[in-house]
Amino acid sequence: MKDRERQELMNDQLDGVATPEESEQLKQLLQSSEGAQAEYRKLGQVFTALSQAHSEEPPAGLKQDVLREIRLRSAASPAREGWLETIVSAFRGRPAFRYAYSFAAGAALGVLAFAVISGSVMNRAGIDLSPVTGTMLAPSEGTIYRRISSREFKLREGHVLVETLLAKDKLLARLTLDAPAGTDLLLEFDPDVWGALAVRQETAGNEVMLGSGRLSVRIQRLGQSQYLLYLARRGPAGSPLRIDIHCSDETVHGELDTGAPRTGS
Amino acid sequence: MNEEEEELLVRCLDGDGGAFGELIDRYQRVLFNVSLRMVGNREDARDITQTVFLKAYENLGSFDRKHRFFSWVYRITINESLNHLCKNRRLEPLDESFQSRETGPEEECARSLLRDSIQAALLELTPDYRQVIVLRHFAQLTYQEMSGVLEVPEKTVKSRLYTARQLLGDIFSKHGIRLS
Repeated sequence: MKDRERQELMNDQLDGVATPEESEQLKQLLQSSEGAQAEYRKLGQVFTALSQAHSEEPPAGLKQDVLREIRLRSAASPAREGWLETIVSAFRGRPAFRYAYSFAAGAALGVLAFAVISGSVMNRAGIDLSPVTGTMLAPSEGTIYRRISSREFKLREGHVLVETLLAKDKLLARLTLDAPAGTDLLLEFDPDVWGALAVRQETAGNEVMLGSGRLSVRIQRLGQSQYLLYLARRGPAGSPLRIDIHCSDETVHGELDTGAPRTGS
Repeated sequence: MNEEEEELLVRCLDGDGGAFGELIDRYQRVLFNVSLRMVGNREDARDITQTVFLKAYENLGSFDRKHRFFSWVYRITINESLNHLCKNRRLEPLDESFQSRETGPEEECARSLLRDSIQAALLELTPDYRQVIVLRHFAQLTYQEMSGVLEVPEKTVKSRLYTARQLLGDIFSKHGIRLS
């Protein structure tokens, strides 16, 4: 018997993948050769040693750390990168579309060039902060949102506008802040009813944190800023969105309707 | 890919963070152990496992669902571990690691010594051989699954595995590791 065959027989037997015929063949080999017996014993010790090195528990908090990092990265992604990435990954995820990718990019450039030449491109200085009137198109999903509630919180030195918009099983909370540095805004939602899909920020420079059932924004730069929090419905009932704003010695609270039946109602 | 995993992936792609949490629950133990056996250090293995999950999350959109999800994450884990080893070429001298731990009469200490000795022996293998041992004996992958993860023919997997076990046997003999 060749070395390779003998090696395969022994490994397959110890690995539990040998056929009955192979097991029999090995048995005969071991009966007829002391050298093979020694080799088999040595290999068996390797299997025994490896089986005694039990698997170890992963460190506590690994999962939470990964999920926290994902939320932080999502929250830190600027709006335009976000929707662009979504489009790009949609193409990446569907191989059939790969060929259409360059065509689509070319077509988009063409349309843009035409729009610039014909003067139909909106000249937007900064960001679009116009109030939502009835409906708006979500930047990445093509979903039609209907505004269901809106509330303005007046501060001594500024104001915060919070709106909720609904589209089937999705909710969009739009926060428009014009508040001094150091202002903290906390928006809380029922995590059993709503799962956070994405946060889009139109202005970088403030501290934005997304946690389970909460989005917090700490204003660190002057000027108006806007945040869009996309939520997906997980459950049928729920409580309204709760808003807490702290600015110097001033605290403001409020609630906004989410279009979901209230818990317990 | 099984249906349950397919559904989890769809939910992840829809932005459901809870679904990705379920995938982490499924794979964190085995991926942590694969990276631990590859790099031999819990802290590094933790960092690698975290990176693997983050990379998987960020690239879910480009994951070809014709393939198996676990093959994909195992491959990321192996690659990340190999990258780590390349960046940190800091191999402990084996003799020293054996001798320094040969103290303490209690049974637990003896078991711990054995575990450490096995880990040290694994680290003496080259990464190519170490990864086949780790995938077969610590992740319990079949030859076929290993072939998918490592992107080499099944025949190559088996050949490497046989050699790796033989080398481990030689290392055990060299260091006087005896097992009942």
